[in-house]
Amino acid sequence: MSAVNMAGRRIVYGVALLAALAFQIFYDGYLTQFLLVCLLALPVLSLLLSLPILAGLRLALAPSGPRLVQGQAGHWRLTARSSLPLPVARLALRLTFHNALTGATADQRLQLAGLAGGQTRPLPLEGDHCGALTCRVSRARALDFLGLFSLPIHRPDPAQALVLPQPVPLEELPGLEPLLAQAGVGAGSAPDEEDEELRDYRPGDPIRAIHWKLSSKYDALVVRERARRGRPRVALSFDLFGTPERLDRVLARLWTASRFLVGRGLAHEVCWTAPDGQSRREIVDSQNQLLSCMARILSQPAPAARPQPSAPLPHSPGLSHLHITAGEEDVP
Amino acid sequence: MTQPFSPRRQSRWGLAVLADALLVTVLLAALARFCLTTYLQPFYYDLLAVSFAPTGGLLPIPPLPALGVCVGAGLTATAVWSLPRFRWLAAGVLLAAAGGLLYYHRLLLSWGALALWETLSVLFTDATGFPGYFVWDTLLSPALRQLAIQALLAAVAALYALILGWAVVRLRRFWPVFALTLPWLIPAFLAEVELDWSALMAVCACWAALLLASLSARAGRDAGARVALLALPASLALILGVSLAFPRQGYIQPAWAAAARDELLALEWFPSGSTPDGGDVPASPNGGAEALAEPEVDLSAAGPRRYTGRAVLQVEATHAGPMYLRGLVYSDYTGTAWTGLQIHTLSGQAAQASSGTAQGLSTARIQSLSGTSALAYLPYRTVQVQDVPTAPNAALALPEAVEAYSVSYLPLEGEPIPEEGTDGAALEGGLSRYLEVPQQAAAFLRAWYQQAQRELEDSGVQPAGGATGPYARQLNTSAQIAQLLARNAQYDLGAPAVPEGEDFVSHFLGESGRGYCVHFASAAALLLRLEGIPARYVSGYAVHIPGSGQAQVLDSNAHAWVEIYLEGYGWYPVEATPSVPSQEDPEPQPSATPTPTPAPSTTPSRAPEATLEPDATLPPQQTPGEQVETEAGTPVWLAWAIPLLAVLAAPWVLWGLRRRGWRRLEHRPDANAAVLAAWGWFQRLERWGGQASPMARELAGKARFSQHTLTPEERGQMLAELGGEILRVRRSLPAWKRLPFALLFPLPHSKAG
Repeated sequence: MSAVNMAGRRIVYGVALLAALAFQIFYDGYLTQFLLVCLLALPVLSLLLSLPILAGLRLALAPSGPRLVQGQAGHWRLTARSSLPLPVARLALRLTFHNALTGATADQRLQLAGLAGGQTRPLPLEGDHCGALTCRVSRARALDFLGLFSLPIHRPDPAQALVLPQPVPLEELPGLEPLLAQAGVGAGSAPDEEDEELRDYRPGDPIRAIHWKLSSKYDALVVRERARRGRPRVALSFDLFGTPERLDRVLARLWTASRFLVGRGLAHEVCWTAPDGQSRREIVDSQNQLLSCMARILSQPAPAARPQPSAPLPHSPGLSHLHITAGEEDVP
Repeated sequence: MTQPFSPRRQSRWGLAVLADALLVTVLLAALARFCLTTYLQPFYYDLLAVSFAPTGGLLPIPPLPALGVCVGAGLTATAVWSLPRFRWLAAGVLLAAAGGLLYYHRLLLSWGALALWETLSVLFTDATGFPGYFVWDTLLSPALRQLAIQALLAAVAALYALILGWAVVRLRRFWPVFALTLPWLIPAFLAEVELDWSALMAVCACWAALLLASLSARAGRDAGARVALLALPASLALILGVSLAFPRQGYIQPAWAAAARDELLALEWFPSGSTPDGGDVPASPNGGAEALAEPEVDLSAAGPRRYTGRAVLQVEATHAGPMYLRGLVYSDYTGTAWTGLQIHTLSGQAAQASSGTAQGLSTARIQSLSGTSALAYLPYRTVQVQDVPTAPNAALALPEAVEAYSVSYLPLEGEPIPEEGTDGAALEGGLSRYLEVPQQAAAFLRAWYQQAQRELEDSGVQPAGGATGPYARQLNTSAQIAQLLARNAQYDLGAPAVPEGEDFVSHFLGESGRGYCVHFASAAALLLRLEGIPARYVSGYAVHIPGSGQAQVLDSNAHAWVEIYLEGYGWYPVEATPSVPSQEDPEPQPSATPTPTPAPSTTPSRAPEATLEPDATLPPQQTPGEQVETEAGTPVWLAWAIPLLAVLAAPWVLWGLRRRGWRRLEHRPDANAAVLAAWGWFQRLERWGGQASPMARELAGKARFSQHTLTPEERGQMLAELGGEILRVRRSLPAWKRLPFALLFPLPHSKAG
């Protein structure tokens, strides 16, 4: 509970028990036996009342949001679910917070009193650095009502949240415009070719997507679905290593650049060297793909130092390339 | 560190108040009952009369108004301390009002205090000898005295309820409540009076519930209230189960506890005032009569008896059947004590061992289980102790204290037969001392004896006694006296001590009519003396030896009986107590320094010759007559009015508080807190079928988890949602539910449908 608090309660109980025992020995009245037996039975009663509550208690961990922006306020939510409308006298948890990208791990001991079913307690979420955060309850114990016994309870599943980098102003990426020029993309350029896919109608499809001609031909509704298959013409690369601050800067610039390209409708590659030395390439041509790519990046542990020897740029040949660093770009 | 965070800013107010009110009221009522039944002597609780029926001619205390006062005071105190704000102001106002009321009735309350102290002084003086009887010499009628006591108790209960309510409601800790309630119980423990077990169990249940809820209560009133509501009935069930599994009737201290005490005392860590067999045996191994002090049997200390069940002696005898073990013998009766201890030291040469068995003697080995002893407890008729021929006519001390000794004796069988060499004149002091009866008691005893005999004759019952031998007159007279005592007195281990200054036997036969072996033996000895039969008082043990020949003599086997002198035979034991000798018949051990025994339920004499001085006087400007007229009706009316007003005012108070809560939602400076409070109202609405809208949910989440301070518009939006939902739920409820709903969820008139 502190172990000190529980030890203190046990000491007090022990003293009371000794006093009752001495009372029984030195005094011959019925009251002595009554008090001694009641004192012996009280912890049993406490256990009997506490056990059903503890057995039915289920904890759940969830972030306030699956994705946060670096520096944004967030929290973990610890929710208790119980079949009985009674609180737990005291709960002691040991929480482990881990940032997959930076490798930072922190332990925190938490004591909660009076947590009942349906109640939620917020826990601080450290979003100072980018990364895939995991909050895990490594130890969960609860006290009975008297505070004499510490009993294990069901641990919740770990919760995960993604801390995305804070976008930087485009002015900090002067290499982007030359990159676009190099890729032959200008103002008013036509979007990439789009292929159409035909499939059966599914409830919820918009009516205007129905291919009436084919539908009348096949005597069944056919839907025309556009598949955007832009060929990547630009590659963004970066080095996944460094201190958390460096990683924040690099990823923030990467994030800004990639969002800029997605906003321009430009499919592009994101390349980096994984900690295992293998190169990774992700094609990003939509916001969802960007988020998925960023999730994969943030979930990889980044070494503190540049790996030796430095790997060659992993991007596909023939692409205009921009290498994202912490403060300057390498102009191809 | 434990997080002080409370999950909801708004606690479940109703549940917490219910739990607190239950605890405060039950505690208060239980303590009141305990004090009334235990301390208010000469009151006693008569279950059949369902009232506190007093002795001594006073009026009963009606229990329902007493309960009403406790309930009303408990609820009022809970309500005051449950106020979200200005609770100290409310308490102050209540105290000021109470103070005014007390000041207005100060005379009545002062009478109540004097009457109460007079009653309490009886209990405490009988039990502890301190502080001495207080007699209030007053002309007040018993009815007015009773009224005064009731008024004082009601005032005390009301004030105490405020303090107790503060401890339960605000502190929500076990130890302060324990400290406030225990002092009311301690005097009863110290005085060793009969406890009111039902009240005590209720108090213990409340303590247990507070203990169990204390950890949860630190998180908030709601959590503590839920646990308290669960723990209170569970604790009551536990305590009832304990009392059923370990019943109070017939309780004897466990042997392991008695043995542990003996072991610990033997370690000499603790000062011991007396040795286990009553203090007449020195700790040194030196024995002999000179080693024993000059003890007496202090009859004024003969109050209610309790026994531990501790084994004192171990007897191995060759003759089965009842055995009287004579210990000490006293010849002189003073009215308050038996004195004139007669004790001789064993002396002489050891005889041949074969002489015992050749004469058909029985033998016994008697072992003291509490260390060495110089006093020999001897069966009738002992002829040899430690192989030394002896025919003790008095108590016998061994030359040195031993742990065990052997005895040869002739068991008593049939009527006694004269023996040669027995001369009454050779007795120490002659026979005359065994015929003396104090003058102050003689006349009464003679009259009592004659009256009892007449009643026996009139009843047609055959007088006891069928002896036909040479000592038929003495034996038949003894049997008849025992019969008269059995007819006119009741055997009662709880007989109170005799009031100071009164003759022991006269009080027993003339007033109380209750007593145990000490009383019966003393009375029988004096009555026998009046009939010209030399008699003396004997204390020892009475035990039944089973067929195995081995028996443990417990402290509860201590007994007192009478010995009569038969010319030509010697001293012969006579049983005067209306029970068989082998049954438990405790009797205080004669000791050199007799210790007082608790003596409840005695009333001091109100005669003018009492040594205590009257203490209370009426103020000169007031007369009892006038005060009777003005004071007679008010307290009783008050006792009913308070709980009735509390019940009638409760809904109004509740509605007012809820209205106030709504206004706080609208005007509270902290918008986020107001929105969260409104969210709490939504949670309570769910029990009535209400539901929070997504907008409300979003606003509450924003107020709680974001760092954004809500705008007045957002607060207004939340309150609008809440007001709309309240209206909707109210309209959906059946008519009979709308009133309680309106009390809990009042709306300002602008929003009310």
